[in-house]
Amino acid sequence: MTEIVVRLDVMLALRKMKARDLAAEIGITEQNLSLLRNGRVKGIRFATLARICEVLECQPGDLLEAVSVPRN
Amino acid sequence: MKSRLTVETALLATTWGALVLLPAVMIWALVSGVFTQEALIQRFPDVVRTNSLLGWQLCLAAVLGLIPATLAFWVLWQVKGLFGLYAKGQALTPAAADRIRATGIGLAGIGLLNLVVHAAQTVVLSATNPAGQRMLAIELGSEEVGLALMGGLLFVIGRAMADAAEAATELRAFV
Repeated sequence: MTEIVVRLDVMLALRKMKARDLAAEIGITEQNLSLLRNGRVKGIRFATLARICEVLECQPGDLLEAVSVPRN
Repeated sequence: MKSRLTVETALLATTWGALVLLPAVMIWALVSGVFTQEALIQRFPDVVRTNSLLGWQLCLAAVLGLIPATLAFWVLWQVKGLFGLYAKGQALTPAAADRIRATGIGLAGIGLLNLVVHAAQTVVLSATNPAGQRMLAIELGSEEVGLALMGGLLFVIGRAMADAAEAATELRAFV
Protein backbone atom coordinates (compact mmCIF):
# COMPACT_ATOMS: atom_id res chain seq x y z
CA MET A 1 0.00 0.00 0.00
CA THR A 2 1.26 3.48 -0.83
CA GLU A 3 0.78 6.47 1.43
CA ILE A 4 1.43 10.16 0.86
CA VAL A 5 3.71 11.64 3.51
CA VAL A 6 4.00 15.40 4.02
CA ARG A 7 7.64 16.58 4.26
CA LEU A 8 6.80 20.11 5.30
CA ASP A 9 9.00 19.97 8.43
CA VAL A 10 12.05 19.20 6.30
CA MET A 11 11.40 22.16 3.99
CA LEU A 12 10.73 24.48 6.95
CA ALA A 13 14.07 23.41 8.49
CA LEU A 14 15.89 23.92 5.18
CA ARG A 15 14.41 27.41 4.80
CA LYS A 16 14.93 28.13 8.52
CA MET A 17 11.32 29.22 8.80
CA LYS A 18 8.92 28.84 11.70
CA ALA A 19 5.57 27.11 11.17
CA ARG A 20 3.81 30.11 12.67
CA ASP A 21 5.34 32.44 10.06
CA LEU A 22 4.45 30.07 7.22
CA ALA A 23 0.85 29.85 8.44
CA ALA A 24 0.63 33.63 8.51
CA GLU A 25 2.19 33.93 5.03
CA ILE A 26 -0.12 31.44 3.37
CA GLY A 27 -3.21 32.51 5.28
CA ILE A 28 -4.22 29.37 7.14
CA THR A 29 -4.46 28.79 10.88
CA GLU A 30 -1.53 27.37 12.83
CA GLN A 31 -3.81 24.54 13.89
CA ASN A 32 -4.52 23.57 10.26
CA LEU A 33 -0.83 23.82 9.38
CA SER A 34 -0.02 21.59 12.33
CA LEU A 35 -2.56 19.03 11.10
CA LEU A 36 -0.96 19.18 7.65
CA ARG A 37 2.57 18.74 9.06
CA ASN A 38 1.47 15.70 11.02
CA GLY A 39 -0.39 14.17 8.07
CA ARG A 40 -3.72 14.31 9.86
CA VAL A 41 -5.63 15.76 6.91
CA LYS A 42 -7.48 13.97 4.14
CA GLY A 43 -6.19 16.31 1.47
CA ILE A 44 -4.66 19.60 0.55
CA ARG A 45 -6.18 22.15 -1.81
CA PHE A 46 -4.11 23.09 -4.87
CA ALA A 47 -4.42 26.73 -3.79
CA THR A 48 -2.87 25.95 -0.38
CA LEU A 49 -0.14 23.84 -1.98
CA ALA A 50 0.65 26.59 -4.47
CA ARG A 51 0.95 29.19 -1.69
CA ILE A 52 3.27 26.94 0.35
CA CYS A 53 5.45 26.32 -2.73
CA GLU A 54 5.54 30.04 -3.43
CA VAL A 55 6.58 30.96 0.12
CA LEU A 56 9.09 28.12 0.54
CA GLU A 57 10.32 28.44 -3.07
CA CYS A 58 9.99 24.75 -3.78
CA GLN A 59 8.04 22.25 -5.88
CA PRO A 60 5.09 20.08 -4.72
CA GLY A 61 7.40 17.07 -5.00
CA ASP A 62 9.64 18.61 -2.33
CA LEU A 63 6.69 18.62 0.09
CA LEU A 64 4.91 15.37 -0.71
CA GLU A 65 6.39 11.91 -0.96
CA ALA A 66 4.78 8.58 -1.82
CA VAL A 67 6.03 5.83 0.50
CA SER A 68 5.19 2.14 0.61
CA VAL A 69 3.78 0.87 3.89
CA PRO A 70 3.17 -2.80 4.71
CA ARG A 71 -0.43 -3.95 4.68
CA ASN A 72 -1.89 -4.98 8.06
CA MET B 1 -24.46 37.51 28.01
CA LYS B 2 -26.02 39.36 25.13
CA SER B 3 -29.05 37.57 23.70
CA ARG B 4 -29.99 37.99 20.06
CA LEU B 5 -33.32 37.08 18.47
CA THR B 6 -32.70 35.22 15.22
CA VAL B 7 -35.09 33.37 12.94
CA GLU B 8 -33.74 30.11 14.36
CA THR B 9 -34.33 31.06 18.00
CA ALA B 10 -37.79 32.44 17.13
CA LEU B 11 -38.69 29.15 15.42
CA LEU B 12 -37.30 27.20 18.38
CA ALA B 13 -39.38 29.25 20.82
CA THR B 14 -42.49 28.79 18.66
CA THR B 15 -41.99 25.02 18.55
CA TRP B 16 -41.52 24.93 22.33
CA GLY B 17 -44.80 26.85 22.61
CA ALA B 18 -46.53 24.32 20.35
CA LEU B 19 -45.09 21.44 22.40
CA VAL B 20 -46.65 22.93 25.53
CA LEU B 21 -49.92 23.87 23.81
CA LEU B 22 -50.59 20.52 22.10
CA PRO B 23 -51.06 18.46 25.29
CA ALA B 24 -53.04 21.34 26.77
CA VAL B 25 -55.35 21.34 23.75
CA MET B 26 -55.68 17.54 23.97
CA ILE B 27 -56.67 17.75 27.65
CA TRP B 28 -59.02 20.64 26.92
CA ALA B 29 -60.62 18.57 24.11
CA LEU B 30 -61.23 15.69 26.50
CA VAL B 31 -62.60 17.91 29.27
CA SER B 32 -64.72 20.20 27.08
CA GLY B 33 -66.69 17.36 25.53
CA VAL B 34 -65.24 16.94 22.06
CA PHE B 35 -65.83 13.20 22.49
CA THR B 36 -69.41 13.39 23.70
CA GLN B 37 -72.08 11.40 21.87
CA GLU B 38 -73.43 14.51 20.10
CA ALA B 39 -69.98 15.65 19.06
CA LEU B 40 -69.10 12.22 17.66
CA ILE B 41 -72.38 12.04 15.73
CA GLN B 42 -71.48 15.39 14.13
CA ARG B 43 -67.94 14.20 13.41
CA PHE B 44 -69.15 10.92 11.85
CA PRO B 45 -72.39 11.82 10.09
CA ASP B 46 -72.19 8.78 7.78
CA VAL B 47 -72.04 6.20 10.57
CA VAL B 48 -75.53 4.75 10.92
CA ARG B 49 -76.32 3.91 14.54
CA THR B 50 -79.28 1.91 15.59
CA ASN B 51 -78.51 2.13 19.33
CA SER B 52 -77.21 4.94 21.47
CA LEU B 53 -73.46 4.84 22.04
CA LEU B 54 -72.13 2.95 25.05
CA GLY B 55 -69.47 4.29 27.40
CA TRP B 56 -66.73 1.99 26.09
CA GLN B 57 -67.43 3.11 22.53
CA LEU B 58 -67.00 6.77 23.50
CA CYS B 59 -63.80 5.97 25.41
CA LEU B 60 -62.31 3.84 22.64
CA ALA B 61 -63.19 6.42 19.97
CA ALA B 62 -61.54 9.10 22.12
CA VAL B 63 -58.37 7.05 22.69
CA LEU B 64 -58.14 6.26 18.97
CA GLY B 65 -58.60 9.93 18.15
CA LEU B 66 -55.63 10.83 20.35
CA ILE B 67 -53.18 8.48 18.56
CA PRO B 68 -52.44 10.84 15.59
CA ALA B 69 -52.08 13.73 18.06
CA THR B 70 -49.48 11.72 19.95
CA LEU B 71 -47.51 11.20 16.75
CA ALA B 72 -47.90 14.92 16.01
CA PHE B 73 -46.31 15.60 19.40
CA TRP B 74 -43.33 13.41 18.42
CA VAL B 75 -43.05 15.26 15.07
CA LEU B 76 -43.06 18.59 16.94
CA TRP B 77 -40.30 17.23 19.19
CA GLN B 78 -38.20 16.41 16.11
CA VAL B 79 -38.84 19.88 14.65
CA LYS B 80 -37.86 21.42 18.00
CA GLY B 81 -34.61 19.45 17.89
CA LEU B 82 -33.97 20.59 14.31
CA PHE B 83 -34.49 24.27 15.14
CA GLY B 84 -32.31 23.79 18.23
CA LEU B 85 -29.50 22.55 15.97
CA TYR B 86 -30.06 25.50 13.60
CA ALA B 87 -29.88 27.90 16.54
CA LYS B 88 -26.52 26.35 17.51
CA GLY B 89 -25.27 26.81 13.94
CA GLN B 90 -25.32 23.08 13.21
CA ALA B 91 -27.56 23.18 10.15
CA LEU B 92 -25.42 21.07 7.83
CA THR B 93 -24.85 18.10 10.14
CA PRO B 94 -25.93 14.43 10.10
CA ALA B 95 -28.00 15.11 13.25
CA ALA B 96 -30.02 17.82 11.46
CA ALA B 97 -30.51 15.49 8.46
CA ASP B 98 -31.79 12.77 10.81
CA ARG B 99 -34.28 15.21 12.34
CA ILE B 100 -35.60 16.22 8.89
CA ARG B 101 -35.99 12.57 7.88
CA ALA B 102 -37.76 11.76 11.15
CA THR B 103 -40.11 14.72 10.63
CA GLY B 104 -40.92 13.46 7.13
CA ILE B 105 -41.61 9.93 8.38
CA GLY B 106 -43.74 11.36 11.19
CA LEU B 107 -45.85 13.55 8.88
CA ALA B 108 -46.46 10.67 6.46
CA GLY B 109 -47.28 8.52 9.50
CA ILE B 110 -49.88 11.04 10.68
CA GLY B 111 -51.51 10.92 7.24
CA LEU B 112 -51.61 7.12 7.33
CA LEU B 113 -52.78 7.05 10.95
CA ASN B 114 -55.61 9.49 10.19
CA LEU B 115 -56.81 7.03 7.57
CA VAL B 116 -56.58 3.97 9.85
CA VAL B 117 -57.90 5.70 12.97
CA HIS B 118 -60.94 7.11 11.17
CA ALA B 119 -61.74 3.64 9.82
CA ALA B 120 -61.29 2.10 13.28
CA GLN B 121 -63.51 4.76 14.85
CA THR B 122 -66.34 3.99 12.43
CA VAL B 123 -66.03 0.30 13.36
CA VAL B 124 -66.13 1.17 17.08
CA LEU B 125 -69.09 3.56 16.75
CA SER B 126 -71.16 1.05 14.78
CA ALA B 127 -70.04 -2.00 16.78
CA THR B 128 -73.32 -2.28 18.76
CA ASN B 129 -75.47 -2.14 15.62
CA PRO B 130 -77.22 -5.39 14.63
CA ALA B 131 -75.29 -7.73 12.32
CA GLY B 132 -75.36 -6.42 8.77
CA GLN B 133 -75.60 -2.80 9.89
CA ARG B 134 -72.06 -2.46 11.22
CA MET B 135 -69.73 -0.51 9.02
CA LEU B 136 -66.14 0.22 8.09
CA ALA B 137 -65.66 3.58 6.37
CA ILE B 138 -62.37 4.64 4.86
CA GLU B 139 -61.95 8.38 4.37
CA LEU B 140 -59.16 9.58 2.13
CA GLY B 141 -59.06 13.36 1.90
CA SER B 142 -56.69 16.00 0.64
CA GLU B 143 -55.29 16.36 4.17
CA GLU B 144 -54.05 12.75 4.23
CA VAL B 145 -52.61 12.97 0.71
CA GLY B 146 -51.00 16.31 1.52
CA LEU B 147 -49.41 14.95 4.70
CA ALA B 148 -48.07 11.89 2.85
CA LEU B 149 -46.59 14.06 0.07
CA MET B 150 -45.11 16.54 2.52
CA GLY B 151 -43.66 13.68 4.57
CA GLY B 152 -42.14 12.07 1.49
CA LEU B 153 -40.68 15.38 0.36
CA LEU B 154 -39.10 16.02 3.77
CA PHE B 155 -37.70 12.48 3.82
CA VAL B 156 -36.00 13.06 0.45
CA ILE B 157 -34.69 16.46 1.62
CA GLY B 158 -33.36 14.74 4.75
CA ARG B 159 -31.48 12.18 2.64
CA ALA B 160 -30.02 14.94 0.47
CA MET B 161 -29.01 16.81 3.64
CA ALA B 162 -27.27 13.68 4.95
CA ASP B 163 -25.23 13.47 1.73
CA ALA B 164 -24.46 17.21 1.92
CA ALA B 165 -23.42 16.89 5.58
CA GLU B 166 -21.07 14.03 4.68
CA ALA B 167 -19.54 16.11 1.86
CA ALA B 168 -19.14 19.10 4.21
CA THR B 169 -17.42 16.90 6.82
CA GLU B 170 -15.01 15.62 4.17
CA LEU B 171 -14.35 19.16 2.94
CA ARG B 172 -13.48 20.25 6.48
CA ALA B 173 -10.72 17.60 6.47
CA PHE B 174 -8.99 19.49 3.62
CA VAL B 175 -6.62 22.39 4.24
